Amino acid sequence: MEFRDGVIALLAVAVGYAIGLITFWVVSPILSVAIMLLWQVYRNRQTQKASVSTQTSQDKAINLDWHTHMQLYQEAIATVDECEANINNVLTVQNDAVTLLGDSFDGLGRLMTEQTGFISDLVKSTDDAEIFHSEQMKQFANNTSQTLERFIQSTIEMSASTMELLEKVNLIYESMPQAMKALQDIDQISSQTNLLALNAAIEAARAGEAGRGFAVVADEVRALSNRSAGFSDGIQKQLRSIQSQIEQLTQHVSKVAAQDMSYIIDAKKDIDTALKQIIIKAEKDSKVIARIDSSAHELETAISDTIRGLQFSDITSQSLTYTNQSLHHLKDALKQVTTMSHEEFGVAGEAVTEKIGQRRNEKHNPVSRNEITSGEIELF
Amino acid sequence: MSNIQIIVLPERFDFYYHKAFTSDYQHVLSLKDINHIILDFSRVLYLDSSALGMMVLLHRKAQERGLTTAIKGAHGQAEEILKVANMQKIYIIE
Repeated sequence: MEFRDGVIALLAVAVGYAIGLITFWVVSPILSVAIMLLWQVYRNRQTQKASVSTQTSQDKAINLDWHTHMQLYQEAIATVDECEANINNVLTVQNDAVTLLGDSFDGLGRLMTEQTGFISDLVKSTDDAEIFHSEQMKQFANNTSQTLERFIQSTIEMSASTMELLEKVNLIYESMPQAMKALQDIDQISSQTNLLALNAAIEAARAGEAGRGFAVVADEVRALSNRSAGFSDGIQKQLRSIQSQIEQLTQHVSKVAAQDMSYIIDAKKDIDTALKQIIIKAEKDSKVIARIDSSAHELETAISDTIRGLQFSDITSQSLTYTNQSLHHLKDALKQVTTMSHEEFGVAGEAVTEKIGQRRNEKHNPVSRNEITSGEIELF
Repeated sequence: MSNIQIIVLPERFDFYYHKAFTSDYQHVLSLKDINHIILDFSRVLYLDSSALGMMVLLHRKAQERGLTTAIKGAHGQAEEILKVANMQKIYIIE
């Protein structure tokens, strides 16, 4: 190789460098753009591939989820159904129970009123409705006591009168011996007269014919004296009869006037004791009756309160009915959802949810808890 | 002479005592210047209705003369009988 070859080589290098420099300036941006585009395309394809694969897996997962949701909804519907049935049962049972209780309490109240009437009938006397039986017993007791006292008084009065009578009869009886003595005097006179007449007759007989008339007179005087003796005898007999009759009278009077008083004392004691017991019993009875009466009234009030309290079952009924309606609504909504696909749900689901919310906001429970407590009813 | 006269009564003051009682009180009533008659029951164990009758009679007669009557010493059954017979209304219990 020679010098020329070196120069040519140097020239070639310079030309090559120049050409290379020019080419670099022109090509490099184009190349870099091309490389960038290629990279972009590659990236784009890569991402497209990935997104397609994730999309399908997501779809699969959502479908699986949706199925589970459906199952949940079905279960929820079944549960809500059961709840509804249960609530209906509760309502029926409650209504039956309330009706039964109401009827029973009505009957009880009626019986109570009847019983109160019977009690007052029992304690009031039959003829006068205003006077209580116990009061009548008291009156009867007092009357009996007064009657007994009057009886004792009249017995004593009778005794007093009888004793007075006896006193007067005794005066007659005591004057009897005087009368007898007078009659005996008369007897003596008549026997003396008789004797005198006898003597006169003897003297007349002795006088013979001259004394004949005198003898007749003497006979008459004797006859008179005999008659007067006869009268005296009769009167004495009468007097003795009167005497014995007065004695009999005294006997009878003793039977009438001399009453043993000890049995009356015993009787009065017995009656007094009985009367005291009757009065005590009557007073006790009237107290007990008053208590029965007031407790009957209390019972009546309690029963009417209870009946009033039963009316609160209306409130629970309304509450339960409302709950049931809400459940029914929820069930309908759930049923509606179960007929939808995932996509459909995406479109209409919000409307269903909104509807439920709307109903809840519009329709409130007709019964608030405050109403019951403010009722202030003691059920039992 | 005292102006108070006491008539003492026997154990059994009943019908068979009426003669004695009558003569007793007739004697007392015949006295002058008396104003109070007391029946002494301290011995009396028994009395019957005729005794009460006699007491009423005596009270009447005493009242006619303006005399007061009283009982003393009554006890036991006799006292109860006098009470039941309301004798305290006409006799002062001493």
